[in-house]
Amino acid sequence: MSSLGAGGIARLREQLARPELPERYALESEIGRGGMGVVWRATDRLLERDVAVKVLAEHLADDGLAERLAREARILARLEHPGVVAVHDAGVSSDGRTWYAMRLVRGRRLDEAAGTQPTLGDTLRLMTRVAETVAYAHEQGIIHRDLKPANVMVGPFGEVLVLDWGVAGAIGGGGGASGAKQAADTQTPATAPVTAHGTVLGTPGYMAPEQAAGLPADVRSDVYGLGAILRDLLAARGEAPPRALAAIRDRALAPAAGERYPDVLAFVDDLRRFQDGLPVAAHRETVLERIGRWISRYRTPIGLVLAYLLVRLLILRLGGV
Amino acid sequence: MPAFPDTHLSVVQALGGADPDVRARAAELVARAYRAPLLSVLQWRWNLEPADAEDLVQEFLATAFQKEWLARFDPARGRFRTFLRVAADRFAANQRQAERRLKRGGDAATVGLDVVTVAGSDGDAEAERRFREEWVRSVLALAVERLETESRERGRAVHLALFTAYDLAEEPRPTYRELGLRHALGESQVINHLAWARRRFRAHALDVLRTLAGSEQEYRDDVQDLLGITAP
Repeated sequence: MSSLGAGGIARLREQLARPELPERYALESEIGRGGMGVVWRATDRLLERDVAVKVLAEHLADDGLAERLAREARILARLEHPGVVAVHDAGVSSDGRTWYAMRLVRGRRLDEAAGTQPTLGDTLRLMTRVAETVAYAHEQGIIHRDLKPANVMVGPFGEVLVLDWGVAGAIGGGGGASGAKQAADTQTPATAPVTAHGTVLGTPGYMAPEQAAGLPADVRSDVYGLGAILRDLLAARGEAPPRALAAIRDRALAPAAGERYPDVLAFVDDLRRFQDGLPVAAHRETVLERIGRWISRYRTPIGLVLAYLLVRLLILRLGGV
Repeated sequence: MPAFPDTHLSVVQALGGADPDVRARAAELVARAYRAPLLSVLQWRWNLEPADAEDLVQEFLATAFQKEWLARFDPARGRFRTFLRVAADRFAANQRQAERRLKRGGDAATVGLDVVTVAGSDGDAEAERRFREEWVRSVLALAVERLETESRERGRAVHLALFTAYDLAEEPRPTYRELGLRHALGESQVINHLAWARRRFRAHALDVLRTLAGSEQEYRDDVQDLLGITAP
């Protein structure tokens, strides 16, 4: 018989433990492992391109997770947006594991990239792109329910992708979005996501209080998740945020859903207003703050006028000598 | 070695079959698969020299096949490989007892084995660990051997060469690009050839497990144990 070394044996066992996907895909290496499955870097041999394949972890094959993974694939397929990774293919492997193939995303997770943006403006632009993606999903009738920095990927050009839609659900009857009816066909209802054992799904510290309590989640639950991401991004900068920005963060993170922004677009709108130097809905500013913001917003023309006046003054003084 | 006649027929069934040719080939497969695991565990348990352990394993297997002990395995009472390990251990104990009796001038012809009573674990975790480790190596080696045979028969020597150079090699391994240059292949061809070899290796490994298992349940347990997955 063949003489196998320790390295060969370990590698063969690792090969055997791999899911057996259709011949089209050649699995290369594991690139991520989450609560629901394992993500592999693979080669699509038909189209000769690199892809990522998410496969249900074998030990999680029960507990309704296969259906959750399949549902996640259907959600991603429906959400055609630059901030959502594109799904190419899906199925069940010959050894019974649900899988789907998607675009291979290159970049860093936001929890690793937090604090690396050169300016506060860069951080807020990134935050805005994340929120816009979530707002698009809401428009399609889908709430994410597990927003956190680890579920956001930042590409080399600053592009963002919102990942891990495995806990997502349909917006309830009051959602009013055009995609809500379609979403209801493929999503879980808007009640809090729980496992077969009754465990509430989501991440402590990022999950809205109503979701953690097992109550129905709605778009404001995602507003809370976005607020938690903003909180982390600002904390990673290591400097106290301006009061208006802190107020935006605090309003998004309000424990009572009724005290948060009514939807993500309102949160985005306030972020944009802050970046444009306009008053924000989350914060009633004092006269001094208003003057300070006004000066900050118009600092360039004010500087030019002051420079002009200074030059005029100098000319007058010199002319008088 | 000729292929085992029916890949879905377990060796246990074959050992108890009517066809002497099938029985002989089943016995040969059992010997090839379990020789190393038995050697490892008997040498350790009875503190034997390698040559003595080799003799003991040969004698045990020859006796077991001759007296058709293994055909009496009852799947309801445990795994075939546990049964085999415990049977070999009892055999070694009896042998030692007989040697002592001989030294005392007694009758040597008392070696026997009530195989029906040895099913199940003897509770020795270390023996099981050593036996299992070598059993895994044997299963993988048999699967590689089958892949080698298939590759030769189907004219896929390059596929096998890539598999050997990449998946069986110790670190540092060549890159796909280096393998491609070595065999005048593009990287995508290397990926495709390796994918074929891995797929076939997996099929052979599952086949070996199914053949060696004493029952469908044992096969499923072994697949879960060795591969960490549910048997397809």
